Amino acid sequence: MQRFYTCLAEQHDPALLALAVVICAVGAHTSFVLLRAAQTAAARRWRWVALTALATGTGAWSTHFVAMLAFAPGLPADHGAGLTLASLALVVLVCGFAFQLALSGRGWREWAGGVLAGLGITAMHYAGMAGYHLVGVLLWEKRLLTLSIALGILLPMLAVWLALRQPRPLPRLLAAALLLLGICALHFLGMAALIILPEPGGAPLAAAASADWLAAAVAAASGILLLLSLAAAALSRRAHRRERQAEQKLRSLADAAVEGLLLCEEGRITGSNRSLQGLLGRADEWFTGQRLEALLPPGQTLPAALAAEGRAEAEFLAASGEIIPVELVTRPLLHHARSQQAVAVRDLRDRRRAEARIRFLAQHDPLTGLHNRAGFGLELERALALHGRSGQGFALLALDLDRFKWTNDTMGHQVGDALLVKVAARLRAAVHATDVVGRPGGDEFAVLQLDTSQPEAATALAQRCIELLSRPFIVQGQVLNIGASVGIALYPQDGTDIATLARNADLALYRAKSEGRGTHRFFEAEMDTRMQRRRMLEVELRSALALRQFHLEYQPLLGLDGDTVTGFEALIRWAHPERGLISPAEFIPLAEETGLIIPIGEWVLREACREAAGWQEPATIAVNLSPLQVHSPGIVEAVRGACAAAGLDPHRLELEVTETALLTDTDHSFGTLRALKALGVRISMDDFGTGYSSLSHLRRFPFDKIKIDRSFVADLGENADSAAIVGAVIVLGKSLGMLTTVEGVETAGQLAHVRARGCDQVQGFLVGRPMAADAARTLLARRQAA
Amino acid sequence: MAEPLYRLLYRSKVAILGTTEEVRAEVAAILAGARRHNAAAGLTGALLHEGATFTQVLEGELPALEEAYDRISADLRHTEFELMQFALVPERGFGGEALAFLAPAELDAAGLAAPGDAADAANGVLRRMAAILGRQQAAPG
Ligand SMILES: Cc1cc2nc3c(=O)[nH]c(=O)nc-3n(C[C@H](O)[C@H](O)[C@H](O)COP(=O)(O)O)c2cc1C
Repeated sequence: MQRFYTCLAEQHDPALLALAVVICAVGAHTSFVLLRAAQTAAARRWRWVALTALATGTGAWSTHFVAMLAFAPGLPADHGAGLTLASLALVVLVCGFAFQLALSGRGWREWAGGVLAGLGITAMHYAGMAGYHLVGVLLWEKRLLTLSIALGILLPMLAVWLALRQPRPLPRLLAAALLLLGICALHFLGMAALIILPEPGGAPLAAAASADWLAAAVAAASGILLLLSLAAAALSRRAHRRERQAEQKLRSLADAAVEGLLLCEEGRITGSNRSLQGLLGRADEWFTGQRLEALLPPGQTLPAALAAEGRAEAEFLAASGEIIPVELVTRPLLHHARSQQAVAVRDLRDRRRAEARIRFLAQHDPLTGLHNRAGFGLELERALALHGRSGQGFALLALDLDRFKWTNDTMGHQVGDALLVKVAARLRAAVHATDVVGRPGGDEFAVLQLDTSQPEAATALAQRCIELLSRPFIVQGQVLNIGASVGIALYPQDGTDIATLARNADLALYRAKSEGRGTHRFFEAEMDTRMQRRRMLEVELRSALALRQFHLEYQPLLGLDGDTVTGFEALIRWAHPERGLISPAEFIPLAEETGLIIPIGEWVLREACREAAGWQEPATIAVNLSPLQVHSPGIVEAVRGACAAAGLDPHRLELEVTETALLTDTDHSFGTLRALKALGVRISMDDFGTGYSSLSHLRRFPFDKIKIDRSFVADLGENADSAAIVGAVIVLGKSLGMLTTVEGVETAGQLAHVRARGCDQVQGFLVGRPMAADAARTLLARRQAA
Repeated sequence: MAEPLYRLLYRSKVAILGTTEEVRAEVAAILAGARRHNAAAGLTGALLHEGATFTQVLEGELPALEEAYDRISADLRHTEFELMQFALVPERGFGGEALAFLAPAELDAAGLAAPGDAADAANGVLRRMAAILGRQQAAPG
């Protein structure tokens, strides 16, 4: 240190020394401004590298030689021109390679480039020294020499690394200072290491001349340096402005983005946009410098995709504490010449809400908010999975509204819909929180009861449902009375899969409905067999007509005024090839339910008319019309067609309708009857006394005949009421101008009784059982003969 | 222009399980909730709790009345629900309170038998409720 101090203070001219340091500083700073330009240059980087090398080289070189000019060892000295200029060329070239290397990539290249630059500068110094001649012997102090070289390499290396890594103006100044320090350390430690032994007899050198050309060369180099420096300063300002503009543009672009944007580098956030700030409710400053993990709710880890490139879903924690589902799309990005990640942050809340809404809509009935068929099915599956594992039972209740269709048809859909909403509310009141209510469709409802104490719990629930739904409803100011029937299937005894359970609950419901409604039934295996027979019958019924399995039988009617057979009632028979005769009581309701009664009924009409057309006049033929036939639009045409095809006078055809046919859509039904009557056909009221026996029906339509049901005749003997009713109806018929027929007359006593009351016709086993067509013909022929 | 007024009258059987004390407490709770609802909906009426029977009359405009009825008719704390009257009325007959509570000290025979047709029965019940209400108001406490 002592030597160094002596060297600086006593052997150097202070003014020149100061100039050397200034030149060195200018050179160092200029170098790094240019290096930055080279770093960010998109194209033709080598030009910038060359300028940088020129600045570094001339800076170091000028520093060296100005310092040498300042050096006054007290002995005449000389600088060899060749080596002096060669050393300039050397340092510029080596620095050129060094910077090219340092800019070619991160890591070791930066370090190696720095080392190379240091080497170039060091080599320049000692090459210069090699050209330094003076009268005396030059000796080197090893330790200081080593230190000089070491610092001459190390400090520039650090400077280059810093300049490349921290391109902002302040670190750049620091880098320039480091370079300055390196060059000065190299030079002055090198000079301190120099020991000059004067050589007494040495020839004096042309010191003055030597100093002159050197001064000129140094001045020229410094001039170049100054120019470079001015250019660099301008460049730096421009670059700075551009950078700022670009940054601003980028920022406003980022802020304009709807999606949140994050910039991050090595796991730390370096920037955020306004959307993201708004999304998380945090200020810009909060983000900068945070670790990415700080965005997540506590305890969550970063999705792998966030670290590199790709797409991931995650949750972010907002300042408010809300956890926000987000989608992250990460892209690598070169920003400030450093590789970073840009992360687009998409708020998934709306999408999640929409998804949840769609799921809800797909599984619920929009009218009542209950589970729809699909949603209820899912609940059943869940129950099955849950209880299947634990072996616990549950109940499936199928529920059907009684009289809903009628309400809907007569009051309109709006009232029907409002009613369904109220039904749903009552069902919700009937069930417990763990039960699930569904509306698979129309006026069908279903309840899944997750209760293990079966069948008691299901019984109680069914009774609650039925009781609640039997209470009157008030819909838009109108009082409506409906009711409900319930069928129950239990898991696991009535089925272990959804389809079986649902079917069995429906079977039980069917039973509940057919046994009076307003009640509940549990599934029983026997229902299944009955239903199967029914289904089989239905299939066979469909083909029976084509297979000609039907035929008619004819039951005679006896006119009491002349005691003659006045005609027959046609009765359908189904002779099944395997099952034998199937009772009409079994297949007619089925035909009615399935609508098959229409083609079957038409066949009966045609067949009966055809047969009757062969009879002697005025024998009549009576044919039953089912309610569905009365309501079917083609019935008048069918009757006209049957008579016409057979050539039968319509006066000889009697159509028998029951009161049930008149109960629904009454106006239309009476219209149909009037149209039939207009054809000339006669209309009878069948089974009178069994159904509603509304006298208003008799008043509203001029029936030709009233047929008194067989049940009254059966207890004519024992029951005074029956006798009174039969008598009254006969009187009523007479007063309305209608004939009366009593059905089911089996004994002479009964016949005598009704005859005494003034009945017009009788029918029953006493008169004749239903018989085949030819037997009927024979009977008629006999009558004619008689 | 005043909206049309409707009156609702029904009878039901108490279906609250528990001791007399518990039943009384539950009825008090029903009453408190009902009064709150009714006052907010502009409904007035009276609830007669007599032995095991509830008889309630409720009056007001249609939407509010229908809504209250929806809730009452879905309540499992009573059963054997019998709607005796639902009709347009020219004016309120029980306009004094959101829900007056009638608890006659002794059963009188008029409350049990109501001969005649449905309308007569309803009117008889209404007259009797009005009488009890009048008696209660005349004897404070
Ligand atoms: C006999 C009886 C009478 C009731 N009367 C009324 C009433 O007048 N108004 C009413 O809002 N709720 C009445 N309720 C209660 C309703 O049924 C239902 O429980 C209540 O309105 C629900 O109110 P919350 O949702 O505040 O519990 C009555 C309940 C019973 C059992």
